[in-house]
Amino acid sequence: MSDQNIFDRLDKLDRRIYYWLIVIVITWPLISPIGLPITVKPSSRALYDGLTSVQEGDVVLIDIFMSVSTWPECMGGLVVETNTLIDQGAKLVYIGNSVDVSRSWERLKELVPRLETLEYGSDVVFLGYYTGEDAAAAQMAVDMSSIFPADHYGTPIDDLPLMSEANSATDYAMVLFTAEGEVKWIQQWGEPYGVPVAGMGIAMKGSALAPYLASGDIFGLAVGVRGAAELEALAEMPATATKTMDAISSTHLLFVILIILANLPILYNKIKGGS
Amino acid sequence: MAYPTDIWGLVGIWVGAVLTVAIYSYMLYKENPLYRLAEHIYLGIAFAITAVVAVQNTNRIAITPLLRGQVVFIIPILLGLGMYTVFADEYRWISRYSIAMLVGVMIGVVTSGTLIPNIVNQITSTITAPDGSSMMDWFNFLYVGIGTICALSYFLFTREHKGILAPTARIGRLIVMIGLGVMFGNTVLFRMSMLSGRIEYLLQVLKIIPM
Amino acid sequence: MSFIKSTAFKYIPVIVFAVIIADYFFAIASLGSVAEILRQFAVVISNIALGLGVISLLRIHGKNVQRRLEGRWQYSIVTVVTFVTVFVLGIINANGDQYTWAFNHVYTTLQQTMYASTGFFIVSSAYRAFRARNIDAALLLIAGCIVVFTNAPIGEVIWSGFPVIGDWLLGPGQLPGYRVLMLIAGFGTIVYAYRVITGNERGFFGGGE
Repeated sequence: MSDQNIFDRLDKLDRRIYYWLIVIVITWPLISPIGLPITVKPSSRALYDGLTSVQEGDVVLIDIFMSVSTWPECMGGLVVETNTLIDQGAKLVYIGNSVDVSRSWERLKELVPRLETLEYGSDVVFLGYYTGEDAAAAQMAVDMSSIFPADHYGTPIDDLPLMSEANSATDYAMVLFTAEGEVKWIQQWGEPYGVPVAGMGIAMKGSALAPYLASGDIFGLAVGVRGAAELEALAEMPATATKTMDAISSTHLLFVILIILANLPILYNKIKGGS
Repeated sequence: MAYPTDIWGLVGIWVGAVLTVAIYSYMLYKENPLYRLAEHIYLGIAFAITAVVAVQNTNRIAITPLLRGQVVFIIPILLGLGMYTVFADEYRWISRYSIAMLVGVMIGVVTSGTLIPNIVNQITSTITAPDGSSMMDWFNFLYVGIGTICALSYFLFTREHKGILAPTARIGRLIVMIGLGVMFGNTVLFRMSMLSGRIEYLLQVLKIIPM
Repeated sequence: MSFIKSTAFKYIPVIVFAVIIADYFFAIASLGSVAEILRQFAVVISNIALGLGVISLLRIHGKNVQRRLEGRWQYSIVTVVTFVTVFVLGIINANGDQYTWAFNHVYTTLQQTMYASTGFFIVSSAYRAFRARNIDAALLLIAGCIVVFTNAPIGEVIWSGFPVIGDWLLGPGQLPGYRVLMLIAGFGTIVYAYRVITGNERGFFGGGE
């Protein structure tokens, strides 16, 4: 005999129903964008202000830690960082701690065609993949060439003019992390050598990075696709991250509705006096 | 990236679309052979890419310098190869030397690195009064200071949470819950943005939205 | 021989740790050179060790095929064949068309798809597991929902207070909790290092004599 009320039925809802709901609420704003405004957080503004304070000729190290799976979160912000630093006349050194970093580098070049106009070896270098986390970062701070005897393409580091002037931490104006791996830069470059550290973290790292931001160990932080969209707004170059924010709005609204629905039975039972 | 016009580019994006649908068929429908196939292809290719990158990088950072006369690199190469003896019971003891070297370096580097940013700076930041005179600055300073002490008392497991520790540990637990709630909110953003990326890709392959 | 097999390696972390820490605190040129070499060694070893997972994978799936495990061995063949094909292509020419195609269209797609599938699972867990049964859980959920609405532009449209409260939560609100975790991790790192150099931490050396 079925004695189920609406809350019991809600409790036993087939999960495929809300999986399909999520697909629908993501798809709809991607096809028909809404364009809700995005307000910029102080931490993202601080990151952008740091980028625009870079002087012509300064060398910036950019750690593309992100795997291809975090492109939706962080690639938009990396594009803004690269464009802004090129505008400032900075020289760029890219490295990466993910086995697919070469794919992220190729994707960055597709999204920032200006990278191809820079003189490779003098204005921009892609050193490629490295392992060893903190040990590698500590060694790079003393001698980059010991971790990268050649760049990603096999060119000996001695043949890259940029690397002769940027071989240790003190030669760099700034370190920018992407997605993750920020702790080693803070601990091995920021604290011992005073190199300013900032970057884009995946959204999940936002909480773990908050203490570093509060203590001044990092000077700026853009978190997740929201942070990337904020950077795009500051740089006035709306792109992939901004387009994603509408889908973020719809999914987040659905998410909260589901949480409220899920807790209605508890509220109902509490009112009825049951457990 | 424009919609590909060459045959292999077209085949590539459609293979990607089919694989994406195959993986999501598990969630949106039920477990099926197509999902299992895509899952196992992923395992194989992910490890293959890792292995290729490992070989290339080892060649770049160790073998090439060794062949150019830096004989000292024979030591880490042998130690690295020694790690693989972990699969042979009789010779597993060799891998302990490799692990010992790695562990020694890592704890040395991490311990020296953690002292100032993770401990000194965090304590300094907690006890440093704000420069500004706004009420909000002082409220935040007091909240963070008292909250940090209460949360620390919650994680004190060597004493029972009685007496003065009882209310402070309780407040500390609630403050930790707030932090975990914030992380949960950020995690939702992370997961949803990745999922949006995949749906966007499918729509682009189907030419519903521009690539 | 027993000393070499079971004891000698325990002194290596102590010596290496001492050199690295001394280099951090004292600027001695010769010590710095030794520390540099040790760090480079660690980088090379960790790079070569990337293959350990590969060997494990091949062993597991190789056994599945060998034992003809029902419902699994056919898929294990797919895994092994995919691995061997892509690995050989990559070793022959990592810039070749075939390897690049597999990297760009198969690996990239599958990597993104597998990670993105957790989006479904968090929705499932939101509906099934995130229940405010007590004050602690309620506080977690309320903070989480406010941050959800802060991160999404629609939050500000629904109520202008969401970004205000949310920005506070994302700043000072969450700070005590994570600062404590960071302090604990920092002290824990030092304690762990002490345990390793005094020989009390042996889990990573594996079993055996």
